[in-house]
Amino acid sequence: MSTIDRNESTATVHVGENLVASVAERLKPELRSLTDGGVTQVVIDLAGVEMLDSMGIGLLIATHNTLQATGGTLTVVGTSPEIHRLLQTMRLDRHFTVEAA
Amino acid sequence: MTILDDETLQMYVEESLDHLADIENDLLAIEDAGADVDTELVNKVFRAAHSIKGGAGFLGLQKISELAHKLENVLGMVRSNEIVPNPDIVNVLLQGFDQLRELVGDVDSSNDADVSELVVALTGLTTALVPEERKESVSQEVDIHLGDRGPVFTVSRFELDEARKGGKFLYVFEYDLINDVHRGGRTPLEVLAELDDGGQIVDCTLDLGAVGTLDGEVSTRIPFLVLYTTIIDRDIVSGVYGLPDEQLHRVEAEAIRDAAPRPVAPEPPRQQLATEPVARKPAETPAPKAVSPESTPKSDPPEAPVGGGAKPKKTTTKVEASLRVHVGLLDTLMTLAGELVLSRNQMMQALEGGPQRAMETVAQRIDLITSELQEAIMLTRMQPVGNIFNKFPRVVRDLSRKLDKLVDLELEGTEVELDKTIIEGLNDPLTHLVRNSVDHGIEQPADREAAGKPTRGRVQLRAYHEAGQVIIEIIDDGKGLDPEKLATVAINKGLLTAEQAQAMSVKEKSALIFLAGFSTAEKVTDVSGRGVGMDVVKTNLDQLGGVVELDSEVGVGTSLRIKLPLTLAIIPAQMVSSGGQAFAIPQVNMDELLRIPAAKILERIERVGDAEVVRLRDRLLPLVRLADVLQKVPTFRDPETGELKPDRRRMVADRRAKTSPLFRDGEAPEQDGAGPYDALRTGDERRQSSTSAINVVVATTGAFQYGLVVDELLDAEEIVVKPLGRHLKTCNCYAGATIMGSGRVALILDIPGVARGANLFSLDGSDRAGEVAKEAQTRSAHTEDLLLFRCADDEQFAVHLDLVVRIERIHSSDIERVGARKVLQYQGGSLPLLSVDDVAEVGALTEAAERVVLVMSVPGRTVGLLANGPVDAFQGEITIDKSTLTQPGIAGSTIIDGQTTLLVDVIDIARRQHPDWFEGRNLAADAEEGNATIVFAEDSAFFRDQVTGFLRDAGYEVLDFPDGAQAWAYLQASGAKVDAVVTDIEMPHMDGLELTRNIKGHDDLKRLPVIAVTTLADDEDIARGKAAGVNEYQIKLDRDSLLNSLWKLLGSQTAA
Repeated sequence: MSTIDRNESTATVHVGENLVASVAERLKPELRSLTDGGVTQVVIDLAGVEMLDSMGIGLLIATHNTLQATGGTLTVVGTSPEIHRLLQTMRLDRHFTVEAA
Repeated sequence: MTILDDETLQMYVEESLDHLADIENDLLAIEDAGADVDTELVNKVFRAAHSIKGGAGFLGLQKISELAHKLENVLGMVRSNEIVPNPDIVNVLLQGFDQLRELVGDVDSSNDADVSELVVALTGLTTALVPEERKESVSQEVDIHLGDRGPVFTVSRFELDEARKGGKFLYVFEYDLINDVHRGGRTPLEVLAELDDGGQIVDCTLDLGAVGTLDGEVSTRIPFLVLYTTIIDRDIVSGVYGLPDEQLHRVEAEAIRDAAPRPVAPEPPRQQLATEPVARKPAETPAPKAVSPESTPKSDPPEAPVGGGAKPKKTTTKVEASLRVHVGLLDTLMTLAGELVLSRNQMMQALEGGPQRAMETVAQRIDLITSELQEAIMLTRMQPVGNIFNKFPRVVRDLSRKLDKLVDLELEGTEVELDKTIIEGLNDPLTHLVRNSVDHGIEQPADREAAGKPTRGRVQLRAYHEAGQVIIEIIDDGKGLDPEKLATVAINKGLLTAEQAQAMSVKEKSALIFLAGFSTAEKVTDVSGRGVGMDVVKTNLDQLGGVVELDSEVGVGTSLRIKLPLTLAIIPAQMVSSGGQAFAIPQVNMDELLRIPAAKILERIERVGDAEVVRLRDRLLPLVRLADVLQKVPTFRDPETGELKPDRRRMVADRRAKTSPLFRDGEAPEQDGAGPYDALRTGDERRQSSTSAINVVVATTGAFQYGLVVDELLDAEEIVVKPLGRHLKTCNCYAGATIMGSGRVALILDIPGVARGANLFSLDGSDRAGEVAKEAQTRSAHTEDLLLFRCADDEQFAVHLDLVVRIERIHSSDIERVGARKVLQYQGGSLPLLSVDDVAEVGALTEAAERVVLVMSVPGRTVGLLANGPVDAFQGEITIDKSTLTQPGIAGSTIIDGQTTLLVDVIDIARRQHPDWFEGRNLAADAEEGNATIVFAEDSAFFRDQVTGFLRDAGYEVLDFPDGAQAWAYLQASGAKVDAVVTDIEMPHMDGLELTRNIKGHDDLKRLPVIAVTTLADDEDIARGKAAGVNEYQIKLDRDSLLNSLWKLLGSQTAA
């Protein structure tokens, strides 16, 4: 299950399960309430996440786009080697910071 | 990025080192193949660089990634035949991979490393070697236009060209991650994997702007563009990648346009939407054209990574902490562990009151499983020696290039496995030895040609199993070591005196190279000089429990032999005791065991110079008493009570002498002095007791052997080596400790250390050995030919070969019994059979279906002596002990090959079994009560003792001499006291015939009757004897005839 730690303008989202369409759909409003509530530094922790599908990628990009508009940043951490390679190949690491597990 | 996970990093490092392991040899093979490129091989190296790069990128190891990338580029050009891998290019590649290995090995600080010079060299290589018109492509960027959408990608022209090689097509694939991927039930990862399989992704980009933000509805579009090369044709590419045709764009030449020059941004800008061209740092640092292959550091030492002016980096040789183990082996371990659990359960049950038998079964089972488990666990530590061997082709290549020599390296036995610890420890010494072979061993091609050798030198590196140990040999066919030169150097360095050198054998002189301090100064030759002398090599090998031997012939080559235990953890050892304490001697340090019975001590152990030595076949070994070295009171086991008692004997050779060389510092006790042992010297003498035997372990350090005197020899055991506690580290005599089956601790002796403790060096030993070898040679003229056989299986007997006519093999059923006597149908008659156990108190003849019959002649007849095999011949010098074991039928005893051997007196057996044969024959002798003095010359100790014995028994005074010359000398001096001469014919120095002629030609002596005794007496011999003046001929050991003859001759003489 996903958990969210919030500390003023910084929030860490521990996804905790495979970031697929259903999860992305559920997380999207939560992330939105964070950004709406003044959070500018969002950390998405993918520790333990083995699969990331297209909708998941869409969620990451949407979060990035939202934060960028407000001057915030997205950081994705805890990526497994496979997911790391995926984000790297798609050149997403040029847009937001991606850190390995 | 930070490295978050040690485990991932560790895995990456291991995997990368694995990739790098074989690269050297692959590169060398690529170099050998030259223009005839083996694509498969190049691909292999390419892939290695590629996966290292990939992992490094992921882990944020920029320097590794950068370097790997450059290496990949060069390899790519080799693969596509754009550059020919000549030695210069391979050199740079090798150096690149060297540094890569170093970076990976020290991954934590790899980002601080300076790789720029090598990167420049590699880039230079690609630019310098690409055709002129393509040179610029390295730094030039191009835009890829897609229809009227403007440039969608910007890439380096060089990379693009590389990717398109081999007739590949360039495409832009236009995916929508939602429609094409998600709706198709696939994940992006699967798509990328599919792309990787069929071609190469040059670049890709996501249209982030199209995705929208969190505010909108669920995004319906995630455009994903891939710049892709593949050999797959336009016609089928749609089907292969499952993309609608209109989303596949073949990139034509006109769509590739030079990118507008841009300012070089230090960092790739992050927030960049794909709709506008991505400004990027040029893919390559502008390549300095100055770096041509010729200027690549060809003359650098091959180990030195191209570090430029950077400070020398400390090489941290990390000991690998993890190990790859075959899954099958792990399965075996699991099975065994399971078995062990089962057995434990059984044992618990059996303990709860099962029958005794059940317990025994369980014990057996556990014993078996434990052994297997131990073996399996040991196997996990075993590594093929190829792990280190395989780096030598590179070492030899680099070295021979540098020295302008032609050297072939042959590897053999790379699959032989050794314990990991040993493999790791072998690395340095082996490298040094191989370098030495190439540097100092192999000559320059011109010199080789002049010497009539093939111009290409040869270095062989071999590993094989021998007697439970592993042997590693380094053999070269170079100029060899000049022992005289080595000796001179050693003398000049003050390591050796000229006298010592003179006494040394060639082998010992060669071994001087291992002396500490020998090879330091001249070692600054460019190549081999790494501050490591051969003595360090030897010390390293000693630490591994290895023994190194050197053989060299001037002009022919040098061969080094390293004997290693399979593992350091468990080694076979001989347990011994001294001073009531048990010690272990590693088998690798042990050549044989000697037990010298009390009766033999005086003969076998001698004092030469100021030390005691033991005679071992043709050599003399210096003796060291373990108890003295360890400053303990030696003990012996009381034969009656089985208790350990202090041993008072101080010297093994001359036990009652006043001084012993084994006492040092002049503390030798006077006979009645206050020495610590004199107080013990009370009670019964036990000099003659069987426990007075001396136990000697023939220990070897590789360079020399010595005899280690211990109190008791215990069992041979497999011992588990435990390191010594720190407080014992300064004791040079010990190499470690072990726990014996009884639970007691035993220290493991360090054989070279014990020798040092006894101030024993091979030089001293060889001095003495030389002297005595000479002495032994002069003596070896008196050899005996004996026939060895058995009666009971555990006792060895011997008869003199001269007495044996034939050896027959018969079936036991052929033996006929007539009363108490046994006969055999033989050559048409019946052969009386005798057996040693008929008269002597020895073990009964072992029952066997087959027997050996020694057909022998005794006076007047032929008899058969029943024996059991194995029947063996022995030739050599023996010393006969006539007292200890003499009994009816046994004339005495001797030691042959370490075994007590009883000398059989066949005539005595015949006399006791068949007194009737001798009736009437010995009357004359018995009647004679002569005090006559007889001079007896005979070279065989065996016959001398026998004949002297029965002459004395008959009442004669006998003076015996081992050859004619000594007998003659005595006769000349005191011939007047002599009444008769009995002589053998065949003798050294002066034979019997010459002795007889001398006697008969001497005025005062010609009166003496001369009886010649011989084993061979045909008519010609007798004629020659008569001509020389022999009065009578007698067959050796025909006691009665000889006595009769003597009586007759002496009688006639007195009568005359």
